[in-house]
Amino acid sequence: MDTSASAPPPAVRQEAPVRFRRMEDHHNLVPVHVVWEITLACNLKCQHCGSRAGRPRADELTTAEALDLVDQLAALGTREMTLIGGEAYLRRDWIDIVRRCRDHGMRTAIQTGARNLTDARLDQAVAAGLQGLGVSIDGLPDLHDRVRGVPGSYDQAIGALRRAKARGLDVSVNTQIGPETPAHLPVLMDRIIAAGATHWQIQLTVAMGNAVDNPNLLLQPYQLIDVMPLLARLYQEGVERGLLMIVGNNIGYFGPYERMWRGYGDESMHWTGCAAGQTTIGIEADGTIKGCPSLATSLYSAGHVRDMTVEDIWRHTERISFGRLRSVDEMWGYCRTCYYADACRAGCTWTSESLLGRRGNNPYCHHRVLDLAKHGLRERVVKVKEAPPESFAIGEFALITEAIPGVADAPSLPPRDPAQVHIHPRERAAGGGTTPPKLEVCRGCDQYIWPHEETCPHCGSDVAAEAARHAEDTARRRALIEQAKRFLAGMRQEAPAAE
Amino acid sequence: MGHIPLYAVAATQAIAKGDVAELKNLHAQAEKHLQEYGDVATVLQLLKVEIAKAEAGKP
Repeated sequence: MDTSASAPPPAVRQEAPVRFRRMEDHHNLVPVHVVWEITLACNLKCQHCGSRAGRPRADELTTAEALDLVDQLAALGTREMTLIGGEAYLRRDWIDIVRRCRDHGMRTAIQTGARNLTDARLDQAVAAGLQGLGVSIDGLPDLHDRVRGVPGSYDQAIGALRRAKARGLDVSVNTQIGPETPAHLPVLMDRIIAAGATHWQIQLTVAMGNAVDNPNLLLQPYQLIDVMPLLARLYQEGVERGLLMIVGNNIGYFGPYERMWRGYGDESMHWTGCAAGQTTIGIEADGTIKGCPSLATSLYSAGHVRDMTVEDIWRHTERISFGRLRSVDEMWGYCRTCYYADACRAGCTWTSESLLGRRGNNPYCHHRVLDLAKHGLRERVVKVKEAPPESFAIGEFALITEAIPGVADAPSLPPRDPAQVHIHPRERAAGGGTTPPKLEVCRGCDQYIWPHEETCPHCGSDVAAEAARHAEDTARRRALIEQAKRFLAGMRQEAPAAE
Repeated sequence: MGHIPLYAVAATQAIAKGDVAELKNLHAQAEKHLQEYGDVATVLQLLKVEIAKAEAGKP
């Protein structure tokens, strides 16, 4: 049944989601959200799989080690656990792990390809306290089945959504964007709404593992100029149909849609840089700890739970703390001189480093794509080095800047001085963390600006005057909202009595 | 919000916020009420007309 026509926006929730970061999480370096590959075993053959999942790792954690790991994370303050694989339910004791997470009060969900996710498996998981199920769907059947390497996997994925919804789980979809995906998105949105999904995470396919072997699955950076407006349209349609699009870490940054979707309407939320190793932990099935589940093992393996406690790895190892210590000085290329350099830090570390072999410069950026286009330029990537066969292995791509075909007489890109980049002062709290920068919105052009700006660097407007005008509009809207609330509350009270 | 790791499950506790989302939510509620109970202003007008007609017909 297609419920799209009548579904209202999600109801207003009073409590913040557990995954939302509080100031004390930043200050005290709380690993709020853990993403744990509990096995590398997988029953799909995804052509873009970064971890090259298939067979289990040779030395995956024992049940006792896994449960102890959950206890250690709970002691560090972890509030949310995402179990992934491979395919998480191919590990025989996955239900025990779910139950232990729930015993500690962690919000617990799995991300799955859903092949052979039987009713029995779902029932066991629900009984153990599983709260959410995210299904990976990369397009309509022909594309999804081809990319996922198994005929019929689309049907199983959609079916799993419905069966999980019927069991009361929070149901979501993750979709990776490659060159063929955008054309599928509008119809795919209809279908996942009909199947019961309430949240839809969108992310770009990243040049890691199998995706390096299949570079045809990678979007070219310049294609963002068409993809981002499509995503924005679908975001707005989704809100009205009860489906909230969640833009993943590699959808960015600071383009015209940043204030719309990063905070789901709360404009005070914006991209604040890669949070790997600051409020997030990634774990591989053998107990390797990283600051983010996706980072290259060879570069970011910070330690192993068989050798050290999670707390020691989390608080004291260099490879997990890179994000806490780095500055704009490590950035390069366009990103080094970008207006947003010290807020953005070149977006998703995984995406840029996997692509170019060095973090700090990220061509998958809407702001950058638009700026280059104004000057008649675009960027594309070409593979120059294969990735080794290991899990989470990276190859290397060359970044090519070229003239946009057919565009003539565009003004050339002006020289930009790295010394002019604004540096946000960061004071380190006693707990070791720092507060992320906070930008404001210029109400003349709706772009984010640094708080010290008096004249908008993007549109040239008087920031204070535009803010005052916006405040008047806001006050009028808020008054209407309160009036409508009172009116509706009164009608709700009166309606039953009138019957 | 913070970090949205790319292999993780979507943040299913997140909701649309801001004035526009709230206005749309209220709009949907008002539409639903209209569908269920009708338009108060129209009913009010009809009541007035019927009262006037009834009173005009009095001896």
